This record gives sequence, C-alpha cells and structure tokens, in this order.
Amino acid sequence: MDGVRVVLERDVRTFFMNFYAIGFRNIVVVLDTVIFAFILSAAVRPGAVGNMTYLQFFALGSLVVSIFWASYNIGRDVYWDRESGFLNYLMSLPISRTEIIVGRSFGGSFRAIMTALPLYVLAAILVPTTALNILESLAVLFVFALGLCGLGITAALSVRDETRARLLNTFISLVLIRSSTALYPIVAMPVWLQVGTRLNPVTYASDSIRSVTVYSPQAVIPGFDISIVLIFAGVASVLGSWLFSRMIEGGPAE
Amino acid sequence: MFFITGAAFWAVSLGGLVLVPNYFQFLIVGLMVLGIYNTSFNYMNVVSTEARRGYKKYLMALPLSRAGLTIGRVLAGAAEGIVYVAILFAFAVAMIGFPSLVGSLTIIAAVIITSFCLSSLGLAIATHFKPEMIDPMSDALGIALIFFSTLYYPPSLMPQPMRFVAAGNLLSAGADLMRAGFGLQQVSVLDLAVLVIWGLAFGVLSVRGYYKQLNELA
Repeated sequence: MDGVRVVLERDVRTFFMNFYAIGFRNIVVVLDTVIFAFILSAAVRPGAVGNMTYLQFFALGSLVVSIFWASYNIGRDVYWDRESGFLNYLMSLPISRTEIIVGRSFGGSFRAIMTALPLYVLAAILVPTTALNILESLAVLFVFALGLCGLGITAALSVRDETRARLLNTFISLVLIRSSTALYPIVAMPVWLQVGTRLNPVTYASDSIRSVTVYSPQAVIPGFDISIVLIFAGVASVLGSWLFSRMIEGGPAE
Repeated sequence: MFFITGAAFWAVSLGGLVLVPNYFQFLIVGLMVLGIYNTSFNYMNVVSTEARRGYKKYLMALPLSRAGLTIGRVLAGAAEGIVYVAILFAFAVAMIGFPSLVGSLTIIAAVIITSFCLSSLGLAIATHFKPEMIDPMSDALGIALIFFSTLYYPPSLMPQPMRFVAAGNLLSAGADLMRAGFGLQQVSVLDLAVLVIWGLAFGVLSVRGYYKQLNELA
C-alpha cells in the first residue's frame, strides 16, 4: 500500500502545481452557472427539468463535467509519463505494477474530487440538501471518477502519435459531455441524440448525482442509474488497468 | 470539433429547451464568433512565444521594414480568424440556410472586422504586459468578453446592467451583425460603430506596442 500512497501523492501534488489552470477552470464553471444558467433559467420550458430550476439542474451537472475533465486527463499524464521515461523510473522503484496502476487511478479520482469541492459548495448553496446526501453523492462521483481514469488511460494508450492522442481525447471528451444530460435534460434533445444519450455513462452519473443530492425518504432510490455508474467504473477501470499493465510489461517502443 | 459537437449536440439541445425563437440558429452564430475569438485572440501566443524564444531578432535580420513586420503581424492574426471561420461558415449555412447577397457581405464584413479587433486586442495585451501577466490578463478579459455578450443569450434575457455592457462588447456587435446577415435580426448601425471604434483603438495599441518592441531590439 506504500507504493499506492507514493504514486497517489505524486499525482495529486503535480496536478496542483498547476493551480492557476485548475482555479481558472473552476472560475469558468462557476460563471457558467451563475451567469449562463441563471440567465437561461428565465426562458426554460416549464417542466423540462422536473422539480428543479435550470440553475439547480446545471449546477449539479457541472460538477460531473468538472469531475470528468480532472479525472479523464490522467490518461494524458500517463501518456507523457511513458514518453518522458518517468514510467521507467517508476519501474525501477520497489513498487509493484499493481500498486502503480491502483495509485494512478486513485490519484486521478482524488484530484477530481478536490477540484470539484469548491463547485460543490456552490451547488449546495443552490440546491437544498442534507449532509448525508452530499457524502453519498461524493461517493458516487468518486466511483465515476475511477471509471473515467480507466477510460482516459485506455484512450491515451491506444494511440502512439501525440497529435492523434490529443485529437482522440478531445473528441471523446466533447462527445461524452455534450451528448449527456449533464447540461440539459434528455427531453430537450432530438430523438436521434436521445438514443446515444442513453448509452452514455456521463448521463447516468449526472442523473445519479441529481437524484442523490435531492433524495428524501419519500423518493425512489436511483438504483438503476447508480448501477450503471458502478458497471462503467468496473469495466473502464479493468480495461485501463489491463492496457496499462501491458504497456508496462512491453515497455516504451523505440 | 468544438464547433461541430457544439452545434450538433449543445445548440440543438438548448434550442429544444429554451423558449426563445430560433435559439438554435442564434447559438450557431454565437459559436462562429467564439471560433473567431479562439483563433484571433489567441494569436497573442505567437507573439509572446516569438519574444520569449528570440525569433524577433531573426525577423529583424530579414530585409523587411519594422512597419511592414508590424502591420503584417496585426493582419496575420486577423487572417487566421477569417480562414478558420470560413469553414465554420459553411457548416452554419448548412444549418441555418443561405443568406442573401447583402447578408453574405454583412457577414463577411463582420467576420473581418471582428477578427481584426480580436487579434489586435491580443497583440496589444502581448506587447503591453509583462510575460507573466499575459495569461491572467487575457483569461480575465476573455471571460468578461464572452459572458457579458450576446454570444449565448439574447439581450432580452439579460438584467439591465448586463445589457448595457453587452451593447458595447465587440463580440456582441460581431455576433449581432452576423445574425443580421443570416436574416435572424435587423442590422444595427450601433454594432458596426462598436466594432469600428474598438478596431481603431486596439489596432493603434497593437501597432504601437509591437513597433516599440521591435525598436527596443534594434
């Protein structure tokens, strides 16, 4: 477990070295919520976002978007570790391959949660909730972030060329976020987009967070949505770990 | 990719969510202007990299006048934005429909002036601030320009103070002129005046700043 801790600490530390970029991204998300969503709230179709206002809907969805960017980009870091030779350095340490893989995944998830915490304060102000609901939704976000780390690692290690890797990552990020219910409800989407939305794990993460955050004993537990998030996290983590371990085994190609 | 996913997913969905007439078309034009912003405004990175890596000294060694280099830099940034948005314009036409001849000329003029304004603004920032201040300054200005504009929402939805700020915002002026070109709203002389005034102001600042940097190297 020491190896996991070492890798995790390093991930979190290097991520927050670029504090300006993280802070700026959070500021943009906050402004998106308090300006963009606030203004559009006045013009949203009645009933389109259920019992919430669009502002509340957007605030909770933007948490998922923030988590996505912070954890998915672990793949980019893994890619650069391979290219820069840092992975060789890690392999020379008395840390097992499993510990490296687990450490990277947990590192990505931790930094995603830490990035989203200030935004959660805003969401908690806008959406009436309880402390228990907040903890439960953070747990769902953490599990989702684990899956995103696996997906990011899978995408980043699938191609060797830097330009292609960047394009692939950008494409996957934009499509997953924009074709989900993170920023708008499914009823607003055209029928052809709704089909893709129902296959998108970000949709189930967004719906889970909204349901869990406003959950009350009289409400229905969002079991289906949370199950999809768990399955996604499991499959993506296993796939990312397998690909990562294969890469470690083979070493960087010259 | 940003524009295509924005149009195909984001604008389509918001168009179905918001009770604003032609909101999808409204957003498509906003995305076009955002494309100009991303290309032309960020041209400042070329200039700041040039200064940091010493390419300016190489440029000064060429048989080119400083005035020519300066004007070339200012126009190059504008040209980048124009070329980039030409591709976006084709997608916008596919989604909104062909504009009339007068409308097309209005759109072309709006694109050219907006690109020029943004690249000049970017150059002015790159040449007037210390290297470590360029990123924070441009980010702060970018946020103000984008959020306090009519790129994403019409003025009718904004609070009154915000409407006032948006009216003088060059992104709003460019977007509204382009929307008028597509027949989504009326042409406003105020928008043209806003663009011209900002273009002159930033053009002078950028030329002055870049020329001064070249002189300091000589």
